[in-house]
Amino acid sequence: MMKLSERYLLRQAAGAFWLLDLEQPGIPYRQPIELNEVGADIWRLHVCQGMSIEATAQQMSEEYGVPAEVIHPDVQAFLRTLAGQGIDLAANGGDDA
Amino acid sequence: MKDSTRLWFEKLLICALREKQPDCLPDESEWKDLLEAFQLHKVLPLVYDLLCDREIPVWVAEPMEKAARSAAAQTYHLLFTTKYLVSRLEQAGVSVAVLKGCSTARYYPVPEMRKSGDVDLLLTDPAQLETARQVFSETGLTVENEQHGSHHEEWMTTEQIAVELHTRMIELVNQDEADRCILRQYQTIPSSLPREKILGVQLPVLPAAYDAYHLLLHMLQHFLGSGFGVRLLCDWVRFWNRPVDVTEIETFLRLVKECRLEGFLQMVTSVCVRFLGLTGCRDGIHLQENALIYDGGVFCELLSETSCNHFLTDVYSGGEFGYGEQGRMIVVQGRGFAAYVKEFHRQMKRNYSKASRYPILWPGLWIGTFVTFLCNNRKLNRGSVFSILRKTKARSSLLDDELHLFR
Repeated sequence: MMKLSERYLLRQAAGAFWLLDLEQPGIPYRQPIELNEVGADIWRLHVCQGMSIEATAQQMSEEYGVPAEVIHPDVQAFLRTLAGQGIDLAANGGDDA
Repeated sequence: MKDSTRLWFEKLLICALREKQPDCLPDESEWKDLLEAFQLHKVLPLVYDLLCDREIPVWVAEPMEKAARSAAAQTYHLLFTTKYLVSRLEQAGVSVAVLKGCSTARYYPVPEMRKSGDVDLLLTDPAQLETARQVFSETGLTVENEQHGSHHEEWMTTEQIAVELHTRMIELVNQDEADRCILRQYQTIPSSLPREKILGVQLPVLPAAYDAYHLLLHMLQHFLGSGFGVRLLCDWVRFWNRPVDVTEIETFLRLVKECRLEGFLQMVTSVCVRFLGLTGCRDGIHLQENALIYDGGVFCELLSETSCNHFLTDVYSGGEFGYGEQGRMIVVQGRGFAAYVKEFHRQMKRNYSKASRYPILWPGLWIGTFVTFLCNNRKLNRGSVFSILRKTKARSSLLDDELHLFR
């Protein structure tokens, strides 16, 4: 199965982050999922770099200056939202929400 | 466009095209006209990255962000529609090159900000048209009732994306020799097309020489019609401000020379150098005194600012495809009444591409063309016939005095 980081392309344009499904058929068109900066960071760390949820929360805690235990549930919630959008996080081979 | 607006318009566009931050920004009083100019030429998204973190009036920032987001969303939709159609066509053995929109966007630092409106596919072998039509029909596309031009067929997807299936590089230009030449050149497009990754999607595109040539022909086609806006010149700047292989440059120059378009190339390129920041790059064409050169020789001598100004004023006043000025329809090649008659006949052939194959029908088609012309003038508020003819005459003088087309 194709890794998520290969199947999806994260783009930054017009002040937003867009997650494009490169494997989509095209017609019908699957619109990109729009992410904010925090969502884009979680994607990069957890999905692209393969960090665990804990390590992702820890890394973000250092970047944003917010305790990891505060960020951890947000990371989980974000990953659940992605799963709700049809992104199969198990396909990445790491732990999921 | 006011002088001060024009100065700022060019300054900000140059910064956007060369990926540099402007050292200062216009006063608040300048922004209204400037915003209108960017909107008229559909280049507002191009300046988004320059201005999004700078102090600009909210009433400028809001439409700019909206335009940028809309351009990005549209780019993605067009990209995946293109990918789907190309893959369906290729499965059926039909070879196409992606033109304009998605293909040209790859020359920009943020491809999403190069606004596009439809999908353009060029059949490399026109004999495959019937198969391509069949694939489109099976895919749920429908052919548009109203067709504009004989060089492509207009289709619509179920998601309301317009698709143009090109069977020639451009519309006939009403010069038999040039039309034959462009057709011959079309047949020399290599059957094995390069594939480029555009926003993560591999698509077949024209080789660089043909791509540049198509950009030039596309500008020419619109110039001979109601005009083109600055967006196509921006494409020209981005194309040449990057490395281009010497053999591709030489092939491009040969194509231009064969069709005797050196004057048009010289004008478009000079305008881009003088006003829009085309400098080339070391591994392609580059500036040396009053010319652009490359490792094989001279690419083109540059025209004076005064000559460029006449042409650029036409581009500025027309806006995107001439929509910005009333009374624009065409330019006429040649002088006198006969030139107008010839152009009118060409318009008839363009409007009735199938029926015009039978000369016996021409009188009726001429009447139909004239009635359509009058109705469209009223519908599109183009002004009186007299004002259209006056505008046509003024724009046509550019051809004779500056561009020396096809001679």
